[in-house]
Amino acid sequence: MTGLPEPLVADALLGGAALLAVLAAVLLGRVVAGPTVHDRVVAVNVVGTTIVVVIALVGAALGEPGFLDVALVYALLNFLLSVGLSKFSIERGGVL
Amino acid sequence: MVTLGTAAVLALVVASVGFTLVAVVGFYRLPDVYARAHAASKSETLGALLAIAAAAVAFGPGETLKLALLALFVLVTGPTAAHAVVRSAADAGIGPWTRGRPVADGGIERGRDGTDPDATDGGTAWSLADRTGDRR
Repeated sequence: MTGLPEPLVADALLGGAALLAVLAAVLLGRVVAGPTVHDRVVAVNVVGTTIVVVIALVGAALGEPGFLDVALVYALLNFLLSVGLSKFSIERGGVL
Repeated sequence: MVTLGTAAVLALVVASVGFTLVAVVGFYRLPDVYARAHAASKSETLGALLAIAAAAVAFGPGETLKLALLALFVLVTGPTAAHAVVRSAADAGIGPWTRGRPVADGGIERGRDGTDPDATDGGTAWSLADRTGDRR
């Protein structure tokens, strides 16, 4: 199964990606509501992970392997964002 | 004609959306940052892994290595990032939710469980060292 997947598979992947994108958008409500900065960071981390998955699913639906490189880099940046913010929000010290 | 691969992709995508929905519901229903990180680090990670498996089935064997790397990375970093954030929350003195002592501003449904008349500090004066001793 190289190149474009068959239409039913592509529809399933795009539909799943759309639902996951909607769930990520819903989760932005928790980012706004907080109440602490830690709630926001955890929620942003989950939104980022969901977007990584959406990128991978869209790449599979379109038959574009290049999307996977984008997803890998986005996952790396997402992890660095969470660890960096959690180190920034307290005094200098080790959280990991 | 639904082939085995198509059925596998459908099942994996449906399961992934289901687990992610559980994580999002948990984010809105659970009372404090620790419980929310619990929803984030387990349910969301499993949902992401199932979706990556669906993409791997759809791509075929040519891209398995890259998707396996992505899955391994998500599996390792999701719970690790949640742990780091929760640890910084504990170091910042945010107390965990307990029955009868709701945390201050502890959720969207504020005051749902009533307030504790004894918790004059609003439940914020708490430190990790008080409970466990500083083991670091």
